[in-house]
Amino acid sequence: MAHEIPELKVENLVVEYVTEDAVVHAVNDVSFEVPKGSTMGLVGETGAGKTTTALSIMKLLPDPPAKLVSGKIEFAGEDIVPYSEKQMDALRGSTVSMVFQDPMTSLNPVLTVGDQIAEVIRRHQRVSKLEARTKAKEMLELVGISGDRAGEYPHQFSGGMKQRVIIAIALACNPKILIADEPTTALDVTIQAQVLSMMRDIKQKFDTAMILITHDLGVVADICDTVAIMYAGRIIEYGKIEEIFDDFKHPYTEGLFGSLPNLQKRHEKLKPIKGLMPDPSDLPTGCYFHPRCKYATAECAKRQPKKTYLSDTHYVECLAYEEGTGVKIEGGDIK
Amino acid sequence: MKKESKKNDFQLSPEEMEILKKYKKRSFLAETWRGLRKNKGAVIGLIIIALIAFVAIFADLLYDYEEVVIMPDYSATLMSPSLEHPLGTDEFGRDVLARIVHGARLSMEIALLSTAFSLSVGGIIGAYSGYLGGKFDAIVMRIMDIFLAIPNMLLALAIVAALGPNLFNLILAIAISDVPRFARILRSTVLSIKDSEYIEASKAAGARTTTIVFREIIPNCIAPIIVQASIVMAAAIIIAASLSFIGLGVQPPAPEWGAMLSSGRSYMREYNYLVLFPGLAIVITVLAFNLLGDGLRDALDPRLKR
Amino acid sequence: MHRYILKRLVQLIPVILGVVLIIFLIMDLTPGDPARMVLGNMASEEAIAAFREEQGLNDPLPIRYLRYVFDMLRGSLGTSYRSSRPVIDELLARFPATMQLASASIIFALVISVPIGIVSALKQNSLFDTVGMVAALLGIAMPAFWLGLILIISFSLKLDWLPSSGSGSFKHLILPAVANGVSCAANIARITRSSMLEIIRQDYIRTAKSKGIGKMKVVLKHAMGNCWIPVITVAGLQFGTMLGGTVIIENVFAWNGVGDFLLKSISAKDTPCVLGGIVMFTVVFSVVNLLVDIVYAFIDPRIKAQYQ
Repeated sequence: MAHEIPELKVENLVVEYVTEDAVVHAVNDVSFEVPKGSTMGLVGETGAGKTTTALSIMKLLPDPPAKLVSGKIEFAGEDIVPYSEKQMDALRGSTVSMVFQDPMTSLNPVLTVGDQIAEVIRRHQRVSKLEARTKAKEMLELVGISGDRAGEYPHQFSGGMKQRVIIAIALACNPKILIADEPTTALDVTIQAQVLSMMRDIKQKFDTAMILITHDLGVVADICDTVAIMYAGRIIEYGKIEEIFDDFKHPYTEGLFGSLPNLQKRHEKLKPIKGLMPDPSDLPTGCYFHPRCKYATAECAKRQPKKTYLSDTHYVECLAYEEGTGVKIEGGDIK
Repeated sequence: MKKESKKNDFQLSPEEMEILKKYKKRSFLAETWRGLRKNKGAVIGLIIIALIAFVAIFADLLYDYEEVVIMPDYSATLMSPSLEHPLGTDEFGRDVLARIVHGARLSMEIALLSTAFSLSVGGIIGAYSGYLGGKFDAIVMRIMDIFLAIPNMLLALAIVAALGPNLFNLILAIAISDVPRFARILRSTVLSIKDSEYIEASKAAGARTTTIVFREIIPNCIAPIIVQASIVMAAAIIIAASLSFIGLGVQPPAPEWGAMLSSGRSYMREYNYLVLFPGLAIVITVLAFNLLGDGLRDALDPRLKR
Repeated sequence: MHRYILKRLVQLIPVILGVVLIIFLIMDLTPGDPARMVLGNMASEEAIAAFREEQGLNDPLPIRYLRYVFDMLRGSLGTSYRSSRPVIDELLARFPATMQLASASIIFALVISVPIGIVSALKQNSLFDTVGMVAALLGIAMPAFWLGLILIISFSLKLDWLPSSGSGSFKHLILPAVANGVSCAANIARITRSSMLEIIRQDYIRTAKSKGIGKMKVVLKHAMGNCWIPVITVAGLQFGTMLGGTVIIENVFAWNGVGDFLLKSISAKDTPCVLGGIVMFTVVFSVVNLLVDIVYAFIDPRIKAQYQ
């Protein structure tokens, strides 16, 4: 795996929002890679920098105020950070696509859904208007909507249906990389399951590299191969799905699992993480998580943790796993 | 695309809410002032209005009304701008600057009086209508809609044409045509705050409708009212000048800006300053009110706050 | 769609009746005896009394109002005191000239304001934006009649490029249309800019950008498609302001339209003509607002859907 060039590679990405009053450190030195056909879950609370990471990959950050300060974003080995708008437009919608968070507001209310799908096909493929329209209908069928509805407007569809349309737009040109930003958060639970299983099927069919942004660990367990846990703009733990789910190491990851209800142990109380995500324009010193960490020591406020590799694929950013720091984790769920 | 929010589940205790409310009430003016000061346009507008108001108030000390503004001086007719007459003299030899200065007083009077009238009448109608709701509201709002279906200028024109052209009728005409605007704004604001908790509380405490309307509702409508008032005052100045220009407003020899333009028009080929300067006075004054209105809206509209 | 148009037409009826009532009541306050206006000062008391009886001037106000409305339905707005011709004929003879001026003004306004508003929004806080918005503020602050005078001084008296008065040719139309259209253009430019600023921050614009279709297409197809609704709303309201403005602009440019006729009727105390003229303007304004509502339905499928 290490020899193969990954479909998407992000290296030391740093993104800031620069406003009059403050500099918001949204993404702080994030690296990961997603090979062909694999899915990475990007998990974290609201405000952890997940969406900003995703928009950086699309190069759709609102500039100003957002600034891509440093780092590399490679599509199949090619760094796209220096790309011009024109070069990016050739990739957006064809090589890399994104499914947005809120289906209710992500479709243009005055255009038919068929038009909105056909538009991306016409942009990236040499086809006639009629062919694009036929292809748009096929895409609708693929996501489970009757092709006859191509002439209808977004307001005539339910939330789940709209999300399917958005997925159809994203997949219309067989992208190599698909970013799904909380694709199911705005939907009913039953619809969530439908949309997720559809996405899993389609991903397998097209062998797409996918990033699934979510704060729902259940969704991650369902379709991801690897998981990156994000906190205050950093990936604080990263590993294969089984490494994270069966053998998590970071106190924050422990907290995330602790705030999930456990169906096997119903009498057990939830253990929510106390406190709030730090203000990203005023991050704490040392480990960003230490003010909320139940194992924190004085050392944690001084030193920023480095990546500690526990296996080829599993790393954690926590002083407890670095040598000679004296920080210990005891008495929790971490093995 | 949105800036990621800093706080997610942030909730205040009821005590904290109370403190916040009090703090908010007290600093309403301070808050507005801070917002205004940041807005360059609003500051410029405010300064200009202050200057015009100053000139209007002390017009008599600057130029004597009878001697300088009204009385013809046939030895000095149609003189181009000079040191003695910075903006020249008109066909009766009267100093144009002196007339513009006294015209400022007239324009400010018209704007203030007509707005005060339409604000109080429209405001009370709208507040009661919104507060009482039901049939009363439905009927009143239909009537207001009908008034709004008549373009402002035409309504004012009809009133002046029927009652006869003079200052009082002009003010009345402008005021009446603006009543529905205030009624609507007040009504929608009242509707939005009517069911809030503090109104419920005063009702529970047995306060009468009138008391509630005047004590609770009107004070909360201040923000949208001042924004609208500054915009309406700007429009009032233009309508007053327009009507006077066509002879249906303030009558000569009174130095109303529109009336000055009307008489200057006959001489505009050779003496174009006679139409230039009174017009500029209108533009500057209206611009100042609009700048202030824009600034106030930005400062007061919570939706635009970050 | 037909149902929608029909419904709006039906809703128009009470508005027009109400408008006529208001104008009728106001004009009824005019001092002076209409009979004396028509017959002149030399007429005998008997002749006046007979005329009042014959014209129904002695009837109470509600009866006179109803009679006016029924006459209106039959296409009559009374008889001019001055010319003794039917008011409707006088008005219709001048109506095309006024509509020509009003439509030229609104077209001029839309053509310059919408592009300025869009570019200002896309280049927010740029030099273009600042200059454009200062110009818009000035445009709103300028009384149309004064701008008309300034245009006459510059382009007719000084440069001698365009005629200062009269009607008939395209050249005659330019100055009055510009004078009447500028404040309207300024208002539309401002609303275009602020709507555009809001729209380009919407999620669906981000979706459009993610398709790689290029900035131009995102703006012209996706953003503009949604921007027309507020723009047309304001344009419709501005049309009313402009109709009011034609009264004065027609006077400035000696444009032989309804507005000019209205002013002359006011100074001649020809009440039936004044009443008829204002009623006509207001009815036109109401019809334009109706058209605006119908146009909405074509732009916004959500409104259209309610009536299909």
